[in-house]
Amino acid sequence: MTKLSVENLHNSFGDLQVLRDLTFDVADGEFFCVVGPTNAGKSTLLKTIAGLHRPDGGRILLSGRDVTLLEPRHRNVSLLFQNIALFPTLSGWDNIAFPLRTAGVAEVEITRRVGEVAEMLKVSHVLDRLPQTFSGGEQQRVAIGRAIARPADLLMLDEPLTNLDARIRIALRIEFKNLHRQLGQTQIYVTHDQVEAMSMSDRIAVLNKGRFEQIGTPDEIYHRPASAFVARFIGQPPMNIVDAELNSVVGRAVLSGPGFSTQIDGIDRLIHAARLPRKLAFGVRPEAIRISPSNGPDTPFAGEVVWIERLGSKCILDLRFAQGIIKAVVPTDHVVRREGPAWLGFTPKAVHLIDKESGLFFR
Amino acid sequence: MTEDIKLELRGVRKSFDRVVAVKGLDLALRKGEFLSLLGPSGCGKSTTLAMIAGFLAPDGGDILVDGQVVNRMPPRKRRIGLVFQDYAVFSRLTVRANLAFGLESQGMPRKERHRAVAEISEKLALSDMLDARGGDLNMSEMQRVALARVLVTKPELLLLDEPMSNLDASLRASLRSELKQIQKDLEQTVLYVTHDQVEALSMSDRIAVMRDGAVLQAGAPEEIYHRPVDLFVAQFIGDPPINIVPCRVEEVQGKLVVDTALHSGLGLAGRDVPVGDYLLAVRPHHLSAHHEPREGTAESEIRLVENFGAEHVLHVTYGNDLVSVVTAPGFALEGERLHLSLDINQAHLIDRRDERVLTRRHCEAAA
Repeated sequence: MTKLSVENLHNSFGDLQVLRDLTFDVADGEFFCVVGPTNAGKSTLLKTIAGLHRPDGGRILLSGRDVTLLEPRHRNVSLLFQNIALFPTLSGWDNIAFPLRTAGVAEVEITRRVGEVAEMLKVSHVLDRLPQTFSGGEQQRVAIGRAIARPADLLMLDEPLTNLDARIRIALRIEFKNLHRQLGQTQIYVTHDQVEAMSMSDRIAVLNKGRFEQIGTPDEIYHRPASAFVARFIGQPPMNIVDAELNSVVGRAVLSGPGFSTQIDGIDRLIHAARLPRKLAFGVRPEAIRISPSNGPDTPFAGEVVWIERLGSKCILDLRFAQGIIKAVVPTDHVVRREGPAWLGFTPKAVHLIDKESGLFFR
Repeated sequence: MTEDIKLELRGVRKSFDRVVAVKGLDLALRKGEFLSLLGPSGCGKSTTLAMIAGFLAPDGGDILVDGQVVNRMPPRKRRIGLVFQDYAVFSRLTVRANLAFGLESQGMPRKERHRAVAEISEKLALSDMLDARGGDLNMSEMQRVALARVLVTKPELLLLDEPMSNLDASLRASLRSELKQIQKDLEQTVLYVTHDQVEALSMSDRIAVMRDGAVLQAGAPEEIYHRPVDLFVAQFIGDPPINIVPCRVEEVQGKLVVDTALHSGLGLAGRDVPVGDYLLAVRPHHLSAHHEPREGTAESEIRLVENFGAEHVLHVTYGNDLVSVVTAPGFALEGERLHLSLDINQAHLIDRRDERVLTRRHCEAAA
């Protein structure tokens, strides 16, 4: 069932087009993530859905009801901002109870609900205290408690983890996911961090300059990106994009470029080969690059490791290859772990061929 | 040896009212070294930085630059460069004017100024944008200009206070290797303050992990990652975080073995520890998941899957706890059962009372 429908949404501030023709649905109970760089229009989208901005065009339907022109308080949506604003003079308890009190919920029901929410968010121990005594993680959890205390049709979260320490972020990521499962509530989660988007969402919408580049499941977005932008924005390190020529050699498709030449299978199953230009580019994920100290059938191309970034359990290698630098990821105990010559190989996929002019993957 | 030390802290202390922010800190930075102060908010890392810069006076102890005590020296005489989280680039000035600004106020003659600006912009790939205005730069360029502005003054010591905190995640990753390469090229001594263990691991020659105003461990990134001294350091470094489960060490037929809620009889080859209850710390990469039972595996259920694209992190039951395991994408789904084995040689035993990691010396001698 569809909980939220957004149709041809436009918004601009003066001459600046912030949202350009956005259309999408969010299913009942779905965790839907909007990810994109700073100034992509993410927060504007949330505020428009919440009713804090009026759109220039388009419709917003919540549970089948057109709310485009409705006051924010009549929409039954809850929005949690990036900067946590707890009432400093109210206790943890009163902060969570606040939206229930303003909605005129009976005191007995408030007691039950606050207790339940605090238990779920593991903040029962701070309910009697003032926010200034909370740790960063506790503040954030109480703020979430306040946002979910009153059941709303839609919970929207605007970069809720951005201002927190890296360590707390990792822990809260998992808590958010568990919480969503327990509540079964429809959520729109906005972030610039592709790790959060990938690991938490049912579906991801990649927003760039006010337009959706792609909407899909994390696996679709990661394994079958629609554009070079998505390919490079999702995944860390980003997908490598290498210029190549596509030729037919004795009836088989061959991709080649300076220093490499390799067969590519499955083109005709996906794309009519005759439609493909000769000059194009292909994408290859850093973890899909094979590295070896010696030349072999799996690693036939010569390269050079010019830089190694060590991240504990794995290393990121910068390799000089095909007149550029490509990145590969290897475990820390990999045989190639020093700068110098190395051999590499990869198996390009037909779904990873890119049109150099449009920056779109061929479909 | 001592001539190589650029910065030294000896028993440096600082309190605000009755709250101790930094307690008796000892730390030395070699010339050309990149050292990170890593710790959570409120651990005292920024206070330490402010004392080194001269914005705060220590309550006790000494700060030495090139072997000279600088406790009472005003900030501008310390020849220290500073870059903060919110870096100041003048948006109305051109990049060239931004870079020359510090030199001008130092009274450097015009010709020299030109040469210095040209040199640094070459090194930081800013030569093509010298005439652009600060306000027209993107975040990555802005960051480089902020850095170049400080580096052009040739500081003895560069202090960086969470310079990447306000940047998008994708930008942070590319700037890490950029910053490290610049530092290496210039042989610049850097003290870098961060709460992000990835930044510390990827750029530092050494990391000092801080908590509650004290350094818990200082060492090379590999050392901190593979041989943490206590529970806090073990948990602070590594993503996904290290797994911690209760365990018991028993003596069976003259040999020491470890029992956990799931695994039993894990041989502690050569490690000499008293029989008793401990915590066992094991990195997610040192647990392995299998579809079928085999020797040394125990059954477990998948409660949650985190999809990171290149790999999946499975959160699986382990007695009353959940532990995380790293697998290839699509290895298994939520709700499925799998068989888990644990590499005890890569695991740490932690004392439950003082939370110290028991030395691994014996284990390594045996291996």
